Amino acid sequence: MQTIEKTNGRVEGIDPAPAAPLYRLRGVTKTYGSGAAAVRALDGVDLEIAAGELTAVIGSSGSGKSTLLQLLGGLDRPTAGTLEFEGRDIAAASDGELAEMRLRTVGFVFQQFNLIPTLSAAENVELVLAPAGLGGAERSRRATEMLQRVGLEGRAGHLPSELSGGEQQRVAIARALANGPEVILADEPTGNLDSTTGVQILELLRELSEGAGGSIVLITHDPSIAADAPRVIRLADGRIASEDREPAEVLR
Amino acid sequence: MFYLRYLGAELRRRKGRTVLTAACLAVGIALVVAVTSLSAGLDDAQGEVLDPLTGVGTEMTVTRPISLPDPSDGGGPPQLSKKEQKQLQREGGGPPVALDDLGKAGSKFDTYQYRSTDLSFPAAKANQIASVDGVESTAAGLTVDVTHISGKVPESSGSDDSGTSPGGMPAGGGDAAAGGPPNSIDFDALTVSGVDVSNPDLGLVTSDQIVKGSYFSGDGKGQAVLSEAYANENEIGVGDTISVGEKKLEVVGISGGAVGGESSDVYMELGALQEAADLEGRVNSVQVQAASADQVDAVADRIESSFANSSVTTASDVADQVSGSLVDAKNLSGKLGTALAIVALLGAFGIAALVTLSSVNKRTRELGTLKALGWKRWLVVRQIAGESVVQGLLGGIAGVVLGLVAAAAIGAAGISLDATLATASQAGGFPGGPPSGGGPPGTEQAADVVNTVTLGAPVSLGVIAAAVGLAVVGGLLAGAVGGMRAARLRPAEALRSVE
Repeated sequence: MQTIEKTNGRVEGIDPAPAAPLYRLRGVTKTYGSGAAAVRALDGVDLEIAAGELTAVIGSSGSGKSTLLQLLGGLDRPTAGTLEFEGRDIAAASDGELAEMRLRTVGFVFQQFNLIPTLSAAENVELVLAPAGLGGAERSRRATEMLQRVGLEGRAGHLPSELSGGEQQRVAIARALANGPEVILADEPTGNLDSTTGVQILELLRELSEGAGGSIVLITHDPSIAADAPRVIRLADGRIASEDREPAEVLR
Repeated sequence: MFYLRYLGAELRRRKGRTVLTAACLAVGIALVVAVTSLSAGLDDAQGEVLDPLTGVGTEMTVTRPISLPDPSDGGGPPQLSKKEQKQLQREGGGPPVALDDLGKAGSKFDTYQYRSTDLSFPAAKANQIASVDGVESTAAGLTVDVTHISGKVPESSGSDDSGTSPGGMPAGGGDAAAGGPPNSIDFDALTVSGVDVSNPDLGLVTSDQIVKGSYFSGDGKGQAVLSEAYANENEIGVGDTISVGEKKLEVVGISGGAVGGESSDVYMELGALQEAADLEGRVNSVQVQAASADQVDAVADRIESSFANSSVTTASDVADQVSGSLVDAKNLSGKLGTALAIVALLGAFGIAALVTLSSVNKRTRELGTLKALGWKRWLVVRQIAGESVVQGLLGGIAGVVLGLVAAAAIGAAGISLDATLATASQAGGFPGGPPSGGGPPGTEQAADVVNTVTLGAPVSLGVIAAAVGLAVVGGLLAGAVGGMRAARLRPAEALRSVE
């Protein structure tokens, strides 16, 4: 398999301390707007996520789940506090460095799939391979391989509108994994799917991320999905209200 | 290639917007092409009209106009010497025709009068002009109005209310006066120019102007060239014989419109006319050819300063005298057309920018997704700007095609334009006759030359290249506006805005 160079802030040859978690959040606060209209979406969150962990984040609407996911994915910066990814402070990274991090080390899966409607399934996967610098033939080979892994080998040339919801989310997963990320950030990936398909998609996500040694942070409303996760973080009003861990999963 | 494929897919999906933006640019570009080519067509038309005089752009005419005397002085033109005032009086038509001088009442008479259209000067002056620095060659000429009066002496002569001037009758152009001359008298007026036949390329008529027959041959004696208008009006052709005064002349050629030059009815050999008009050794115009076009103004200045009271008419002076629908059209295309093209172009640019902006706003989620997936800002901006530039190119190509169709339609319509040109004889002629009184200055009243040209709209490769360039600029402008909007989108906000 093609090895994709990662430029996530690590200095080559010098690994961070082995004990360093994938994510370390200290007093992370995110405020939208200012003055009287200011909304505090996250309020002093302390959290660590280890590599290889599957973490489910649950909470009611407006509890700050999506904001947390966006901060973890480098889509935004915290208003206060520190957020370290592999020991590096995201708040200090430039827009270009954050884009590079999103491209090579983070795989996003959205509730709405967010496929580009004018591009075929294969081209939607290529959407992240082209900026990573892969040439035409390699890009095409890689996209086909990723679609095979999500069970869509016969659908490479189809437009999103020609695919079912489950198939579209499979394309999105293929896209998220195409550059071999270190973490998958999934924002209610089964929210738009029926329960059977939802279970299949979740299985696929776990299977593929395990194969790649990746970590998953999963936002969900679905109690059955959360119940299945080894670690569940419950958010309320921008704070961590409770946290459940399965010791066996942590040891894995 | 991937980015181009994506670009093409986006343009195809947003067909409506693509077509709208391209069409707006196309209309703007088509107007620019049409107005520019129309303007070029009008330039060509003006060039065609002025060609007889300005073909080489180096010719000019030297005459000697006189300014009106100040009425308080009571005398003749103040700048002239006594001798010249006398000459002026003589050339201005001599004494008016007094009926008493023609003979007894009822007897027949037949007389010619010669009036110089400009104050004459010795032919030696032409040689003097020839020696002015920058002058290539010169050709002297003499233009006179010849009035042929014939008929019977009326029964009652002298002062009455028949419309004649006190003590005589008008010396020319008679029937225009109130009441007119007595019915028994015929007036026949024509303008005759004497030319230096030894120089067929320069002069009041040149060999280039001959449209039928030929230019003077040999010493030119006994030969005449007629203006096309005069020949047509009087149904005279090559080979016919005409008479000027006592002289019988054979018509050897017909000349086309001498726009801007002396538009005489008849051209004959200079010496013969000098003799007939009793103006031996005198001329009243010198055609001058400058050594080069860019020296024309300097040469004109030198001639005017070396030759007192002379006036030099250059090609650009003549161009200034052109009026009529050609000039109106040229002004229209120059001002309104350019304004219209600029407004259309700005409007097209504005609409293209707005459509792109609205398209970017509608694609907030898509662009947010690209950013979330790790597309750097410049990559997103390049994609948006690329789409706009391609739209601009499509608009430019469509605009050029539309413009070519419009230009071809203008050419096919065969629109004819008139150019009216005040002739040099009128411009430099006597302002109202000699000081001794008498009639109006003859046939100069009808001396405007009207030329009709057919309008074309030639499109040059340069215009096409400029038009496509403009369209690309328009596309870039729209792309810059849309790209800046896209660049400002923060990925998190872009994704949130649709949730």
